[in-house]
Formats: sequence, structure tokens, C-alpha cells
Amino acid sequence: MIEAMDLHKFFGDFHAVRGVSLHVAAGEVLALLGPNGAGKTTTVRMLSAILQPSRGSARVAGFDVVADPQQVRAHIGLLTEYPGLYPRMNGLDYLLFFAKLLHMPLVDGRRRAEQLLKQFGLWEARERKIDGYSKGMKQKMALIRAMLHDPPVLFLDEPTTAMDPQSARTVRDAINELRSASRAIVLCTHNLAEAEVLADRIAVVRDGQIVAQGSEVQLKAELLGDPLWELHMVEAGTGVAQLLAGLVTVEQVDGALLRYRTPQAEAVNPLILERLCSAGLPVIALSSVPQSLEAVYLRIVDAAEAERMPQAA
Amino acid sequence: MTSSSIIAVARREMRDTVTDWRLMLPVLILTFVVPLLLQTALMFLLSYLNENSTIIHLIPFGVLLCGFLPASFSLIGALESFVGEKERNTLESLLAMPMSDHELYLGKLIAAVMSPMLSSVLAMLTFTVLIMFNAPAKVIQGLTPWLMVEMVALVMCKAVVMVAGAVIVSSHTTTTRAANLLASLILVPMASMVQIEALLVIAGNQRTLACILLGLTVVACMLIRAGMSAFNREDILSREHAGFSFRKIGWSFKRFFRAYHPAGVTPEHYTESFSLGRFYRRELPVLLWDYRQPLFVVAAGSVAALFVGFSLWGTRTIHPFDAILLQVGHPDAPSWQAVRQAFMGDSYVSMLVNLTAPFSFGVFAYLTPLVSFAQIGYGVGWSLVHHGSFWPFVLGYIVPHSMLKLPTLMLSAALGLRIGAALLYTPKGFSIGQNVLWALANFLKVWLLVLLPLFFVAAMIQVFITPQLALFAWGT
Repeated sequence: MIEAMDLHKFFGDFHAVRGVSLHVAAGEVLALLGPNGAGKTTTVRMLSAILQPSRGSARVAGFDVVADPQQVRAHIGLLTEYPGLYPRMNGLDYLLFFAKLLHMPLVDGRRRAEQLLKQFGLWEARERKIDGYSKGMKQKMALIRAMLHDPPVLFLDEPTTAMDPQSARTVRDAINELRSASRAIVLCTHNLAEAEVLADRIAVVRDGQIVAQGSEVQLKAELLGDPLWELHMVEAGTGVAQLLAGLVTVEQVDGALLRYRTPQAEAVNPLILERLCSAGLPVIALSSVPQSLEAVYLRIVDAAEAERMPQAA
Repeated sequence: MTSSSIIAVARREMRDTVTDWRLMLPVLILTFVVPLLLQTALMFLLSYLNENSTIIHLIPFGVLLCGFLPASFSLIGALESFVGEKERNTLESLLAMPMSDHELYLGKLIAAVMSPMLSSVLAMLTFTVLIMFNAPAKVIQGLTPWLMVEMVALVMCKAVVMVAGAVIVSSHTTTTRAANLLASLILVPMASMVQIEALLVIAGNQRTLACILLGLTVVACMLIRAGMSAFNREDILSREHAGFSFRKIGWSFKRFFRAYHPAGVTPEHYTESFSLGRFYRRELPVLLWDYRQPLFVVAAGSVAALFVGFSLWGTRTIHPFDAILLQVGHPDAPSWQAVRQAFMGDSYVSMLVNLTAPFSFGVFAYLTPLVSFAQIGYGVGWSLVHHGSFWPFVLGYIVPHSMLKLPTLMLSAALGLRIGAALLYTPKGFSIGQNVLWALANFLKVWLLVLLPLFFVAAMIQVFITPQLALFAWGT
């Protein structure tokens, strides 16, 4: 659905995007994660055929972004960073206006607009001026606009920026509803929780480059090591570390608390419990220690920063 | 290009305008209240004056004024057509639609033009109807149907010029504030034009008014063409990253100056340093070849001007030029002072008309050699009538120095035309600003390294050789 090869973008002498390559298949949600100014929006604008790449190539929904920009734009839905709605129009008229620009027949446009308004809970507000909509409603309206022609590719740029938690939740739920086997979605965000909840794969962008790419599990394993487990015993036991040696990598022993890593928890954890019980060290609880995407992100960004510092020096 | 997208964009914009009472209220006042007040003032004036002839001339001016005021106010809408949407973050969703740049631009332009046109026509009609109902029949005689049509056409053309200019400003600025500041570049010339037109209306000079109408139509067409060629999504979004910087402008200009590459090659790709040898050997021939189109236009215009000048002799008398021609055969004594005068005059004119070319679309630069050729044509006609042959005039006064001076003036004109055209057509890879800078840098380089030396040599020949040949040819 989306194939980008070595995309570069210069604005004068400012190198905004430096060799971004990515692939998003149908049915997949890719999150572009990165700080403000990392090049996420510029990448999305190039893939949406609004900006032309200075170098490199990209095909979106089967069309080349440079050779067939109008076809690309006809086959994508773009949710911009700000909803960007016309406040003096009512919801239905707004959607019908965009349906016309998308060359949809009037009947189809109206039917689709009505269907989406109902689906996203805005049907009752369709005759109201957009000016009176809440932030969440506005964002949903922008999502409907992006979805109006049922595009096979969706670009969602910072969909929950500056929203209160409830509105953000509403929008996230709405995005979840857009998942389909035939649709590729690219989600630009610096909200890690959002990426964790919505994305199948994550690409971390920094200084216009993709510095890491993979599924959440892959990235965690790659950057944070094997999953971390925490074990609480009834009382502190001596020689616990030696007892488990060769079975797991012990990270921490603190009295009755033990932390270890293992890539094969299903096989190893029962063995550990058995060994400890046999050694007279009954276990109260065994649980996995959550490893956040934030830790992954910070690790990547710090590494990129460290790499850049000597170059700058 | 499909009309449905253009109509959709235009309709939405117009609907947006008419539903905004902050815009509509002043427009309605200017459309209906101002004509009423103006009509009342005229009636009041009539009651004091016994002589109606002055008032007769004021009525067409009233029509002009009534039409101009709402048109100038509607500039606000045109000015924010792009930059306003950008500030309100609504532009990107429009840019992401499957419509071409031209469709989007035309939709915006039509919406921006329709509002001032409608309000202007309504205001002019209101004023005319009020005058027709209230003024004595003798006064109404001053407003002939032809004059009314001319006034309406003048206002319409000015509205299109202002709006087309405003839409260009709007699509090339990053804030509404900057666009409003630049609006004075549109409003001041147009307001001055209304004052000139007022004088012409009062003087009853309809012929000149018709010429102004023609000129405004040409400018309106050029501005629409310029806007369409310069507008593109890429530039609008890229401008977010490029703030206005004199340093950057200077840097680009220097790069364009130090080497010659065809238009469209961005300054980042100018890696070579300046080389005089390379300029004369390689770059100048390429530049002249690339400028073949404006050179051809200038050459064609020059030939036409020669014939026009020739045809003028006998039908019209140009007294100052006749006085100069009477001096033929009695040249001034050669001096370095005369060389300086001739050289400075040509250089100064060439520089002035080319530097103002971005504002005049290169028209003045284009006219410079044409005036010279027309003078030659006129002189040839004069010579034929007075001396039975044009050869002494041509050989003694034209050929020696004009062999250099006329081609130099033609090259200068071609460079000026290219500067003017930089606003009308932007090659791929360039922004409109880069295109103007590129053309200006080429002009400056050629002016310094080619035109000035040639003007100097021509001035030397004009002062030291031409008079000797003239004396020889005329035998005095």
C-alpha cells in the first residue's frame, strides 16, 4: 500500500527528511513516533503528494507520488494536525463540499456522509455550525472528512494533539474502528501510549531519519532486552541467584524480591517455581514487569543524541 | 482541469463571505449607503449652482467612485484567501484534495473577484438610479450609456487587477499581517489611478480613458496569468520553513550572479566561483541563446517601430524632434563631456527601466529601443522629404554608432522583458522570488560586463566619428 524509498526533503538548505524508507502493508497500522520537528509531518506530506520529495521515490495505493499526485490524493485520506474545519458551515454541508472535491456523485457523497456521521455519533449535530462543536467532535468531523471516500490509505497526523483525555479517548476509539484488512494507516504522533495502543509497527523518527523500526515487542526486545519478571518470596533466601543460575538472567535480588529476565517465560517460570519450592522458599507472587514504550523511545533518542554529539564535536 | 472543483471552491468561499456579517455590513454600507450620500451631496450642490455643466462631469466620476469603494474594501477577502486559510489551518485539507493547483487557484480567484464585482455594480446602479430619479434631465444628459459602460468597465477592470494582485500576495505571504502590509502596493496605485481617471472624466477625455481601460485589461490578464503560474502547493507549505531574510536574498543573488545556469537551477547548485573568462567564452553565448525569445520579441517590435516612425512623418509633426533634425549637418564639436553625457544617459536609462521591470512587467525596458527605432523611422521619412534620399541621414547619423548602440539597447530590453516575465511564468524548481532574482542577477552581470562597455564604445563613436561622417555625408 505504501512504499517509500530513500525519501529526502530540502527546504532551501534545511534538510528536513533524510532518507526515509518505509513499507506499510494493507491492514497494517504504522506509527511514526518522534519529537516535534523530527520530520514526521513532512514525510506524511510527501506521501500525501502535497510536497514533492527532493530525492527518492514513493508509491502510495499503487501510484507514484511525483508522477500521479492527483491519483495519490484521490486514494488517500489525510487527517491534518489541526482539524482545519470551516466554522461557519454546518457538519453535513462541510462533508458534502469535500465530497464534491473528491469527485463523488452527490447521492453517494450524501449517503456516505450520513453513514459516517451516524457511525461517529455526530448525526444529531449535522445541521449545527461547526463553530459550536467540541474539540472531540471537531476531530471526529476531520476524521470523517478523511474517511469520506473510503480511501485505502489513511494518514493521521497527530490525531489527539492538545485534546483532553476524554476527547483523545473518543478519537482513539474512532481510529480503532477504521482498522480494516484492506486499509493501511500511518499514524504520526509523539504520544507513546497512543502508538502502543493503535500501532502494529512503530518507526521512530529523529532529525529526519528513521532511527528504529519494528513491532512494539520487537523494539522492546531489541532495546530493553528480554521480558523482565518479578518474584516475591515469603522471606529472603540466601543463594537464590545460584539456584537459578543457567536458567535465567538475574537482574536484582533485594531481600524477598527477585527480578530476572528470560525469553522463554512459558517454559522457565514453572521450573523456577518448582526449584524455589523444593528449596523451601515459597513464592507469594510472580508477575511480569511492564516495560514501557517510553523506555524504548528514550533509549533510541538518547542513542541518536549520543551518536550526534561526537559528530557535532 | 474540471470546472466542478473550481465551482465548488468558489461557491464555498462566496458563501463564507456572505455569511460573515463583519464583512457584509461594511460592504452593504459601501454599496447602498455611500451612493445615497453621494447622490444627496450632488443634489445639495446642484441647489447652490446655477451652472449645471460642472455637475454633469461630476456624475460619471460619482459612478466611478461608488464602484471603486466596495471593490477596494473587498480586497480584505482576497488578501486572506490563501494566507487566512493557512493561519486558520484549513488550507492543508484543501491541498490534500485531488484537484490541480490551477483549479484551486481559479476557484479562490473567482470567489474573490465575484464579491467586489457584484458590490461595485450594485453600488454604481444604486447611484445611477438615484440620480436618474432626482436630478434634472439636463444633468442626466452627462451620463451617456457609453460613458456608463466605460465607467463600469473601468471599475470592473480595477477590481480584477486589485483582487488578482491580492490573491498573488495572499499566496506568497506567511501571515495575514504581512499580506495587509503588502496590500498598499495594490491599493495606492489603484487609488492614484482613480484620481487620474477622475481628472480625465471631468475633462471629458474619453479616448485616454479607453486607453487606460485597455491597459488595465492587459494588466489584469497578466496578473491572473502570473498568479496561476506562480501558485503551487509546494511553495505554500515550504514557505513555513523559509522566513523572509535579506541575508538569504543576498546569498541567492550572489550565487546567481557568479555563474550562469538556466532558470530553474536553484542557488544551492551554483557551486562555481565567478570567472570573467568563463562568462565571455561560455556563459554569454548560452545566455544569449536562452534569451532568444525576448530578443526576437524586441527585434520584431523594433522593426514595427521603425515602420510606425516612418509612417508618422507627414501625418504628424513632432516639433522637438523636428528641431533636432533641422540641426542635421551641423553637429556639435566633439568633447569628452559629450561622451560622458551619451554614455551616462544610455546606461542610466538601461539601468532604470530594467530595475523597474518587476513592477512594469518589462514594458518600459521593451519600449526603450522601440522609441529609438521609431525616431529613426521618422528621421528617414523627414530626410526623404527634405533631401530626396535617406542615405545621408542613415549613413551620417545612424549607422556609425547605432551599429553598436541599437543592438545593445535591444539586449537591454530583452533582459528587462525577461525580468518582467519572471512574474508571469515560474520555471519548475524556482519560486517566483528566485525567478526574479535570477533575471535581475543576469541583467546586472550583462549590464556591467557587456552593456556598459558597448554603451561606452557607442558613445565614443557617436561623439568622435559620427559627426565627421555626418559632415562628410551632408557636405557642410
